[in-house]
Amino acid sequence: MSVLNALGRGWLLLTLLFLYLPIGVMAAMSFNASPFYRLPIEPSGQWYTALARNDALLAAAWNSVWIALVTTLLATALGTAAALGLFRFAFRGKRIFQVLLFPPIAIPWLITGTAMLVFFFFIGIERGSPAVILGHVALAIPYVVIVVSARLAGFDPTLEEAARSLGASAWQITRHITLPFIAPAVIAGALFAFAVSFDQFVISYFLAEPGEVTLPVEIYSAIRKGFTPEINAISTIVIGVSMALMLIVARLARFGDLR
Amino acid sequence: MGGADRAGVRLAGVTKRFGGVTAVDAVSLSFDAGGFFGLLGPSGSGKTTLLRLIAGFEFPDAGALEIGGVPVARLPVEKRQIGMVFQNYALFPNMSVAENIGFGLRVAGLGAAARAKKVAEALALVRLDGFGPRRPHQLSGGQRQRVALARAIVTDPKVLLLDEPLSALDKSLREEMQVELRRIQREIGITTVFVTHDQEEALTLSDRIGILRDGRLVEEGPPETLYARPGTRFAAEFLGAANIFTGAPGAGALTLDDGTVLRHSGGAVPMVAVRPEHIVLDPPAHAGWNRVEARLTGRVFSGATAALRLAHAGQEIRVSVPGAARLAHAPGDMLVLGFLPEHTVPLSA
Repeated sequence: MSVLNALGRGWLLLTLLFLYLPIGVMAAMSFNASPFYRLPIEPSGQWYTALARNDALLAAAWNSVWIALVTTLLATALGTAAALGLFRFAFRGKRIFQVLLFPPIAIPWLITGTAMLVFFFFIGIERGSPAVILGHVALAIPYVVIVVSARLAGFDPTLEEAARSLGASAWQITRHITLPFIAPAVIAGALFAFAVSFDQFVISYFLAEPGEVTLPVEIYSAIRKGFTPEINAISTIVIGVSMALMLIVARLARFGDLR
Repeated sequence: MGGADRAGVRLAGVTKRFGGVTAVDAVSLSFDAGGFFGLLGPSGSGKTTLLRLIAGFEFPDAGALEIGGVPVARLPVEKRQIGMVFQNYALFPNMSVAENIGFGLRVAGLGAAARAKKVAEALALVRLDGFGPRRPHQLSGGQRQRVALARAIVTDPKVLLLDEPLSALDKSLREEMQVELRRIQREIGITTVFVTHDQEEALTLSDRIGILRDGRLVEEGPPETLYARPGTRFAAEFLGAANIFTGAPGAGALTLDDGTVLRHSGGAVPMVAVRPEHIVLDPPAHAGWNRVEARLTGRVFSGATAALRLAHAGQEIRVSVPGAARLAHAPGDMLVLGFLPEHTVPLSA
């Protein structure tokens, strides 16, 4: 038993190393004075200082943040409304609608991105941030619908009936009964939407205007021009923020069943 | 509570169809203000649909529905001023007991102070003083039931509707809650309609009972009357145990296939019902008694009473005798059974 236990622990450790070692190295190097990854590490904040002066990277980071925030807002509102609609109402084609929500998650982004580029060109939407946001929202909605629907599956519809019998309007029921129940899932869905948008490269690359790119696109073109440790610095910041978000998701997901 | 204006409920020809199925079929009923009315029927009889029609969760396809003299057939549930207790209680899990009870008052726009006062009164009425800050998941089944009841009546509804309110409780708690339910209902004098498939519960609680079958109202009346003088075979058999004798109809008499004549107080009917407890063994030898000869097939002792099973012309007859009585007969013996004409209930169908 204890041998198996030790093996299990070793395996777990290896898995975590596999996941986090490259990230750890990158984070360590962002604090190393040498641009050539020379060891031992000489602690230095110089790349963060350089980052603060790199207008292109900072502008791209800011672009990424506001596009992700707008995407989160839109995708969460639309996705939650869709999940509530699917839960409350029976209508023709509901099953088809539900089933068709899933494939976009599996379709490679390169293909989705190409399709969007062609389609947006076809209907006359130009490249630029609105196009990027449209693309991101379309990608993020299924995640929100799926997360919120999973929570709603555990919702007792007689709670809504009880609220109605007590004189509550549809809005009061949603506000006081349904939303509090699905709130953890809505927040989790919102964080997913943020992550989908913030991490998105392919679609942003296709749909963004050359002067107004997002952070992943800017990092990609910076690397092509020549790597600088400033990229380690911004990446370390992004990783820190992303991991914090995902830890919140994990916490809320466990919160999930409020008894 | 208090100041609840008592309102009766009247249904006339109420019909509800789901697809091709008629769940409620031209039901006409009147519930007196302040009364306790039981809707009794097997599952699928339409009793729950009828309750949901009164509540306003469903709208009738035909017929009229009035609460307190006001037509409400097209009024949605949130506008009907009803209180409802659900089978699973449907307490809001994200709210405390006090918030649950106060919810109806809150959505009606009542201030926090007035709300707190009414909630405290309601908690006292259901004997849960001090339970306000608890969460529903910290309560026992019986306590949840009381909270659901308090929540349903705190808004002074015109009618209280109960959907199988006691079915989730165990037997002893159920009996306790039956008494509580009656006490609370009398105290506030609210018109109450409840649905049950448990005939004993219907008999215990109701001022009047309506028996439903396949969406139709079979019979309606006070429990004593329905039990003593059912008019149909379905009511006789559903409300307690009954021995049914069929034969050739005559005025005030039924002639069985073997020539036995059973006298009763009705007209020419095709069948009669006799309750097991109204049948005696070896009846007195005067002419007032209906007599049937039957062969004893078995005896089941169950404490206060013992059930005898007998066979007469291929039909089983059940007789209930005191459990302590010594039986001088063995299975296979022929016995003479007797019952009075007044206990021989004529049935129309």
